[in-house]
This record gives sequence, structure tokens and C-alpha cells, in this order.
Amino acid sequence: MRFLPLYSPEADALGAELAPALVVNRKNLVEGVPSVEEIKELVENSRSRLGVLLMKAPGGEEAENALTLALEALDQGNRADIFCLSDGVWLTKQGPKGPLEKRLPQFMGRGGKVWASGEHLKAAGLTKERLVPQVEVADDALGDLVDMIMDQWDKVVVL
Amino acid sequence: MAKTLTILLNRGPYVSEYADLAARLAIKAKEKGHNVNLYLYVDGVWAPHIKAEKPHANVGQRLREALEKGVNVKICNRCAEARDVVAADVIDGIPLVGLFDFIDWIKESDKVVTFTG
Repeated sequence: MRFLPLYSPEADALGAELAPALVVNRKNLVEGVPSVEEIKELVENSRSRLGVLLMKAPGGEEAENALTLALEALDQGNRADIFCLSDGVWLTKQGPKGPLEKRLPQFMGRGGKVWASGEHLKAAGLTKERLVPQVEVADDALGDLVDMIMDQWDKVVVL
Repeated sequence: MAKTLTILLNRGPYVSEYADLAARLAIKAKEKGHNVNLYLYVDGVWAPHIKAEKPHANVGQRLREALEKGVNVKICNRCAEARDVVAADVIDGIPLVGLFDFIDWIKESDKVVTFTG
């Protein structure tokens, strides 16, 4: 985030007046002086959002990579989500999953969101009560996924 | 607002759910009003080879539905040639084209999603 300078020799030479403006990650430009609330909202919305689409069950490297990548994205000041489809929904089940068991709640505790596809949960015989708390069930998974890919996520990684 | 989505499918059917999910995602995105391209690459060329009715998941049926709904589907011609898949082997309406067509799709897309795992 940076504030554009209110004085520039180039503008001065042209006789132009500069208006205050706020630039956040080159994404948002606000003319005039924004309020503190507006600045907070702009900064929040300007953070890049990573979508990780996971389709493999824990045990392989995909689920571990999904969490590592998503946590790293948060560490670097971005937003991150994990969307579980197909066998990926097993990641969201409560119970022993080795090192991933602690990292999933850790990821959500830090603001990461996790969705599990409703139809794949059903196919796996997993009910909401058996899932890690805070995991959201996407009843129209593919529809939600299209919206996330097209409108919400800046980048998508498929694992 | 309508945007353009390009999906790359690198896997054949009946190995994983990737082929079905790629086709279903294409259909869903099209239904939501987006422009959708589906490029069948490497073993993805086997998906349009499924032409008969099946008593189980049928990615060929999904590809026909995608075509009917206006999804643009193309097959990598070199991947097809390597597998002895010729135009007559695949569902009508899906051209065998070079990789440059995929590059053009990437350039005009808002988002690209790859099903390659």
C-alpha cells in the first residue's frame, strides 16, 4: 500500500494540481481522502486471494501440499481458501490424519476458509457432524466453484 | 459479468474423477453465462473417444452436453496422433488442432484451470 505523493516536480512543471489518492497493490485507486474504514476495507480487498482445489485424499503429497501452500499464502499476507472435491473431502473429516490434523484447524483459525463438496461428502458417507468444525459444506459445489474461480480467486492451484 | 474460462484436461477417463469434473465444471460455468473453452491434452484425448452409452459415469455424454450448451472443445492433434486417435474416433464437433489454439485461448481467458494431477 502506498500513498501517491501530493507534490511532484513534473506536475508542477505542467501547472497541474495533484489530488490525494490511495493505491493498494496497484489494484484500487481512490480519489480524494478515504476514511479509515474505507482504507481498512480497501487493504483487505486488495490482498491477493489464492484458491487451492484439492481432489486427492490425505496420505499422498497433494493434501499436504495444499495446506503448506495455503498456509504459506497466509504467511505472506494473502488470503487463501481450500476447496475439496472428489477424494479431497477426506481432508475435512475429523480424526487421525498425521501432521495434517493440526494444520487444518490452524489454517482456518488464521482466516483461511475450507469448503467440502456436498455431493462428494455424501458419496464418501461423511456427514457434517463428522467434519472438522468450521468446514463449510458446498451443496452446489461446482456452481460455487465456478463463482470462486471466476470472481473471487486471483489464482487457482489444482491438486 | 461474463468472463472467459479455459480448462485444460490432461487425464483420461476412468482413472480418476478429473475428466468428469473438468467436463462438469465446463458445463456449469457455461450455464452461469461464462465463455468456456476445454482443451483436451495428453491423455485427455481419450475423453471424447467414449462414444457409446455406459451404465456408469460417461464423460463422452458430458462432452456432448457441453458442446450442445456452447462450450468450445478442442483436442491436441499431436497427443491424438501419438495415441492413434483420429478424427473419426472422437465425438463429432470436436476439432483436432495444434497447441497454438490452446495458447490463443490462454491469452483471451480471464482464468485458466488445469486438471492434470
